[in-house]
Amino acid sequence: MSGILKLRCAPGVPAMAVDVMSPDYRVVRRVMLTPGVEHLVEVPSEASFLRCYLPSGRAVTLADPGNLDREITPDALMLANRTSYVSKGSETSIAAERDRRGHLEARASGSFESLEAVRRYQATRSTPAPGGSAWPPPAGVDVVPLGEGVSAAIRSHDGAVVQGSLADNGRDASWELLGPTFDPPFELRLDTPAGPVRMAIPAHAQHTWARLDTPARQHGPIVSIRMQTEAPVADTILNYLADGETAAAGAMRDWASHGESLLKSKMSDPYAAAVGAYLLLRLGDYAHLRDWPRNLADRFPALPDGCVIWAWQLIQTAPSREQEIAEYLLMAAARGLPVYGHGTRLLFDGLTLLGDVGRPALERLQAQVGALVRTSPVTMWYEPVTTGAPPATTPEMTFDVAFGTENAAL
Amino acid sequence: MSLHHPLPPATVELQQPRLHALVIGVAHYPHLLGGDPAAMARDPLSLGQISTPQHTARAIAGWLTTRYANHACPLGSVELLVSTPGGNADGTEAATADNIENAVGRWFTRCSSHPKNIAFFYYCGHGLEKGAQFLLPEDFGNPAIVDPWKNCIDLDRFRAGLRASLQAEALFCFVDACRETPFSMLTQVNVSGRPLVGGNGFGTALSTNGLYNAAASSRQAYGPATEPTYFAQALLKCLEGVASTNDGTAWVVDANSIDAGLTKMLRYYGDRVGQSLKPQTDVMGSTVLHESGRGLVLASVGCATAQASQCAEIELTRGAVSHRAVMTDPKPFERELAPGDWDVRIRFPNGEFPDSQAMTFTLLPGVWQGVPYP
Amino acid sequence: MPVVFVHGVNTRKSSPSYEAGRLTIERFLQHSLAGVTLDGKTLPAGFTVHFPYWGDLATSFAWNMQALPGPDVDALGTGGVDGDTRELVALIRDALGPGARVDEPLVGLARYQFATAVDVLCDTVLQHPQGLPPAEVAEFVVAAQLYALQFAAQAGPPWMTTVQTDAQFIGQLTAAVTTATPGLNALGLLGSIGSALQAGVQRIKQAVGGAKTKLIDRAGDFASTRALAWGREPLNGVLGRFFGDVFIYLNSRGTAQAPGPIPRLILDEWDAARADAPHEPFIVVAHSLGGVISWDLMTHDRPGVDVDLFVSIGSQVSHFEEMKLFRNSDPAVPGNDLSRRAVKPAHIRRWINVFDEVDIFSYACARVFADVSDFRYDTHTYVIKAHGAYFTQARFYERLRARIDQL
Repeated sequence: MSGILKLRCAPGVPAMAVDVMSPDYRVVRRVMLTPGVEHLVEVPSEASFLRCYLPSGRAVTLADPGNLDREITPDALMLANRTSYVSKGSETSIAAERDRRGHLEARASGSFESLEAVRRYQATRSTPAPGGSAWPPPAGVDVVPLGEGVSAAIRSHDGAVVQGSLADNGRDASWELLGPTFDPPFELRLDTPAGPVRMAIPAHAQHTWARLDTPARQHGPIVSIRMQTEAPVADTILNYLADGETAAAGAMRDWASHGESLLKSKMSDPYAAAVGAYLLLRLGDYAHLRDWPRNLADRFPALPDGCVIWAWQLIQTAPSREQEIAEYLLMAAARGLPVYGHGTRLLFDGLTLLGDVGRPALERLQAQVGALVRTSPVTMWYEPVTTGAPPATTPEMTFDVAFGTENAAL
Repeated sequence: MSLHHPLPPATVELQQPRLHALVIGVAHYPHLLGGDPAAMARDPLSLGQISTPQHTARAIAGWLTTRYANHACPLGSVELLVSTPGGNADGTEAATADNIENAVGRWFTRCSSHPKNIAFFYYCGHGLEKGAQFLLPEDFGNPAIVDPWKNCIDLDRFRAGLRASLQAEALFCFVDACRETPFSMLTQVNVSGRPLVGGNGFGTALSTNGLYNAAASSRQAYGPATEPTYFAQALLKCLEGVASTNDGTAWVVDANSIDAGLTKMLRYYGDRVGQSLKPQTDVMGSTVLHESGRGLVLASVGCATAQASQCAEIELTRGAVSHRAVMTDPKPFERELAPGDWDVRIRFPNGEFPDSQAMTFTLLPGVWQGVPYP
Repeated sequence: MPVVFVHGVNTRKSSPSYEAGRLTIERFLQHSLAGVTLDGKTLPAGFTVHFPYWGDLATSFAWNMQALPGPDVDALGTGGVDGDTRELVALIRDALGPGARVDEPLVGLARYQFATAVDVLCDTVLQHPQGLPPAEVAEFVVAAQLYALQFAAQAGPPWMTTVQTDAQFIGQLTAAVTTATPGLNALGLLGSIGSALQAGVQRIKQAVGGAKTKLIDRAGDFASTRALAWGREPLNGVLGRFFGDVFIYLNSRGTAQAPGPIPRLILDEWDAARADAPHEPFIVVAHSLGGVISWDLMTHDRPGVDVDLFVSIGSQVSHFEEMKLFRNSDPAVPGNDLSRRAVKPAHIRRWINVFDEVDIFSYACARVFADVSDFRYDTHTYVIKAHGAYFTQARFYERLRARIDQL
């Protein structure tokens, strides 16, 4: 029997994409769920159910046949996250699930056995150090050793070192980053046996944490890095895109189209605006992009992404403006590597399209980055080979970079 | 002749929207290690012989000719080039640099014959990366040619050329190759490859432009020696329904759902073979590639511990359909299931653990791994 | 588990080659000593090798040996070739002969002596593992060495007849020794060792080329390659650390009742090893100063514990006995009769002492001790490399096993 489904979420549920599904598994409607916003969806049956795309990348289903007034709670999501098990009101299982997660965190003092196990841990790890945050916090250090000959350090754009602290028997390193959201990006530098690796960190990041595991079931060590920023929706979008869930990210289309407002306020957040613009670019939604990416390009020179986005918007919508496209692509290259991995790929592709005009800039950038770590949502690269001390060119280290979520369980 | 379908060539439909495919599998490298010792490349770059590409190319071409369905854009043509150590008894052309260049020319022309066409490109063989990505045809490294990079394809410039010149609705480009940089490649000058397609300007014709790499930068792609690669297996599973979505009209597989499906499938295969398999994709647009007509769940069911799995009986039930694994069957228990509510029951005939209650799971197209019991 | 390897001087875990070197020794010992039977006790396949690591207890230098004359005061100069590579360069240039082309040095060396070319490649990748996992480096070294053993030293495998370039050489060698996962194709390089080998070849080419244009031309004749190998810089460092470790051990070894930190660490490992596998023979393999320490411990701290076989390699046991530096040394021996020998205690059932005449740190023992089997082994290297080269050469383990079987 058809009806109107009321859909909202309880406090503590992060912004996420939700598919309202019919009993025959059609997507009736896809919405972005945020606290305080109620959606009314016409459904073909009271047996319709929900598919929620958690910010950590997993999708879970929630069914409650006959109930057309649905409030999604953190507990329901946590239970469902266990393996998409459909809760039939088993509240005691929630406590059991919490116990299980506690066990998971306790295991973190050793190395995980596989990349999947590391990802599961990072998807549930709370922002403070696992095993409870010590107070007073441990003394900060400039360079944090992660083991296996790998150390990490974060510097701000002016070269100042951000002190990091170690937790969990020296396995977890974390940094608190409290800079203005419109500052140039931070940089994480990892010194590894295969040479230094650099990674951009958006200035609106609040926390960054990293750990190194040497799983028995996987070839080579894994360095997993998570960032949590002041724009959780942007974080979720980047996680969706990294997992290929562009369609789910499409639910954030409206949020992204307000990127312009993120540039206007006094405490502007050009990073969140850039993420929104990348999403719209990927969706081919140029109507929502209008011309505000040009403001992003012109007003925030420390963020080369603005130039890349504007140039690509022109390539897609006004390819005859070749001069302007070339100008913005070359300007991006002159400013350095974009903060986001997708931007760096687009910049390289754009310079390739410019042919001889773009080749010098392309070769300069390629020489600057020895090898890009292309699986990272933010730009990450091995420093290039230098004569006399060549690093391995087939690094066996796996980098697992993603954005963390405010609610650790999701 | 590399036209695999349809025959004769004159029957290729050019007036209506069609999918035109070019599928390449290189499983013979006479100038690399294990090839012809008397004609070895001066620097074989530590690359040897591989067999999985021939199985991959034929599996992809076979799927296109037998399973592909798209009422808006039916199959138009399949160009197939395969290199094998003994040659091809069926007359399929070898994937040499010149043959690839000629086949690309024919394929490009067909793809541009109608603005609603879909261009489908699949390459499986050796690949390298130094700044740009390079694909290696059969005759790569021929020592008789002074320039060792003459018989090489520059994938980045090839894609740039397609973007600039191809007059089609969508381009699906699948690159099933490694992306490592051997050290000695770093020390070589004039590393380059054929762009195959030229053009100028930025091009606007393509509403979907998808690049699906089997491997991330500096990583390897893998495949069983006598079967298609894991990437190809993952892609075919995606097309068969693992990546299906249903927007209310039909089960379809589109550019974005392939992206998400490949990521999950390769992660699953990677966990199974102990390798980190992660595709690196770059997709703009969401053109439907295939009307699968169904959704498919790849279910992999075991217990919370390997010890419990070994002594468990697993039963999956939905209505009258039931799948059952006894104690001696391999675990995790793998089955392809239709989407829906499935009951999972775990029993321990020898009483090592208490039997489970029926657990109900709503399974949707994709990969599903369970269950946290006991 | 009753094989214990006691390392010598200059062994530090902080070295990028430590773990790969340790794993190489472990795998070679397991491969070559499995099945050894002594007094009815047999070493089973896959036996454990114990490595008591005492390097962190040994010497450190307050100024990091800055007192050594640096290149700025070294009159000879080294032609821009780093210390690690210098001896390899000398080796290659000796093999190639004067006036030879050096653009493909490894192939040139392999044509002259295949096994030595494999030695050079293994040494290079061990010294510069390029961030590769140590197990992978060790796996390659052991496999390549065992492969080379199949062929007469100078001939090499059949594919040598078609190989023209160093890149082809390392490619063919890698293909021959790499064990791919059965049934699995990687659409790329034959194992990650490939790039490390290519980097190693590049390093050798640069060194050989640099030496040719700088040092050889200046010195004016081919014999100067020997001078290149003897360059003071690396030798000074090795000697400095050697004496440092000796002094540390002698000053802190303590007594049987109160052993110092180095003896305590090694003895604990021995005791644990014997307790773990009481039915297997107890074999102590010791290198360099490790041999001296082991002898001191066997004769003074554990005089009643049977050692079924003691193998000292590149060691100075007899030298220290001549100086009467062991705690159980008998100053009355030899007295005026130089034909008298120091006694090997009965609980050390068998003793093989290995030395290379080129290894200036190794000593023969048979003219000082009774009941020891001296074993001369040619590493085919120069002074400094020789001291550690035994352990990366399959032919060394093969000959050692033959010696053991003759006992």
